[in-house]
Amino acid sequence: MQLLVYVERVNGEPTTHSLELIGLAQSMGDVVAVSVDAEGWVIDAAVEALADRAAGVDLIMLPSTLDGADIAGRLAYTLGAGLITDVVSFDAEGRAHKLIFGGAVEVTTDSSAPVSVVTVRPSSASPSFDCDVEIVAASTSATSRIVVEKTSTLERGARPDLESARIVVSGGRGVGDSGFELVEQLADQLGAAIGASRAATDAGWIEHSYQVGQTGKSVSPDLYIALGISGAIQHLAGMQTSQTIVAVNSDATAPIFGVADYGIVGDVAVVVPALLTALKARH
Amino acid sequence: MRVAVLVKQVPDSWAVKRLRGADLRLDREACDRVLNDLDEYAVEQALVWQEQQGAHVTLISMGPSIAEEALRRGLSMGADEAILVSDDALAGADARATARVLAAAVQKVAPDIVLCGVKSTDAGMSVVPGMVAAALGWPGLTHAAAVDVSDGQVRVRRETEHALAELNCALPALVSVIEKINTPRYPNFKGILAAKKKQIDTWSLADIGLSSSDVVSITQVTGGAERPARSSGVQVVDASGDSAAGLVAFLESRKVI
Repeated sequence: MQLLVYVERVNGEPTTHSLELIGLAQSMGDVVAVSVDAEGWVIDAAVEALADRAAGVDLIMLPSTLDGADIAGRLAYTLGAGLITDVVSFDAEGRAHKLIFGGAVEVTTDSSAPVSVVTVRPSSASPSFDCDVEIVAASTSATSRIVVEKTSTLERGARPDLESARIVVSGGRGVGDSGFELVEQLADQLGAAIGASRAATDAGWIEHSYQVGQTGKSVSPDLYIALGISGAIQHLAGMQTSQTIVAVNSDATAPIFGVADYGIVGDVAVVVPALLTALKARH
Repeated sequence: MRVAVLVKQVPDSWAVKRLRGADLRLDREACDRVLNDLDEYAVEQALVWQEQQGAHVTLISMGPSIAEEALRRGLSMGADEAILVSDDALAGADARATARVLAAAVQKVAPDIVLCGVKSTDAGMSVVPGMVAAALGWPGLTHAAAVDVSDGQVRVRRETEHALAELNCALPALVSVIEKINTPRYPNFKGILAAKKKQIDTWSLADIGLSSSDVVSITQVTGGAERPARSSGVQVVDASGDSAAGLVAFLESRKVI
């Protein structure tokens, strides 16, 4: 099997998510990996670079990021290829498996075209560092009329990315404005990424890009800690595939407790400081 | 300026969604249907231009006839007119077929700019905006946190996980908008009354110059199973911060810390 992998880079370094795709692709066949430099309009340049290298390729893999999905759609349209997004695994017959409806249903998907474009979720394989990545200049796009005036990398501090983090600590309405500091302290103590419910992002306590749920990011970390989040179905849709879920909420009837492996009915402002003290004492 | 806004009717995001056994398609009959949340931001942006620049706002949707309800919602917010592309051949259309249909409808409407949300809350693939741009051969400026149109140019502040970018290009163009861009208005009584009198045109595939062979789905769902529902585990009540030791022991037992 011939595979083509699109490698996303941040500050010039391939993302862990992209290296996982290379690892997954290497377990399935021969791999060519391509990336695009960040100077210029990456999307059209990536579509062209991948389309130029698609001859004889069976499967084209991209990370399931916003750019990855954007490139995948345009590429599949251009190539007349099959398109499957948010794949979590491939079975022995090469069929893609994905979770839909917020992880409630698992489906297998097939394409009748000779080539398929797929986006793959994080943590689908171990990262591979053993692969040459060809880097194409974004300015080479022959057809794009889009001009990029300015780009900047969003500062995330030292915290891991929300979608690929092993541990996510999320805050909701129940933490209150000042309480987001507790979310950050617990995340930093655990080396975790920060997430939020829509109530918290709508309130402006944290940026929109941190939102977990149906209209935000879907995450499935090893550990998800929900602080002051009631667990509306839209939020559950973005996190219920997490391996272990811990919830702290003052309302014992909050739906989040229905999916939590460990639920604490109590005030975030009381529970979290004590938890921080206990975690620090372990070290 | 003519603005077209692509919208979709989706199951209410509070609804529990299931696949139908017979054809592995979403059981749309079983849930309440609404205008996709994320499309309302695109409608709002178009209405801002309607107020500020006298833009004419046309909503375009693809779906069964019942999807008129979602268009009616957009009309009650203030859109001028709406078009529903509806055809039996479109049942179960994949993203590619959907993009082809929407692009053909856009060509017939001939707007200066197309606005849309970044994804639907049901399929959630986030690929249709880029695919429609590809089908039109237009620039696709996706994930806009801010958008501005003047002198035949569109400027966008694009925001993704890792990067901010300031983009511009000449119209016509397609722009997808993120939630951050505005707060969609709630239809008022006057808007709801006015919407009842506004026209919703229904177009068939033939009306937009396509035939059923143009909209064959390449990608099919071949199997599906509901995953076991999660159940709740341990629950403790903590009034004084005494839950910490138990939680730490639990996390250690799960080998997550």
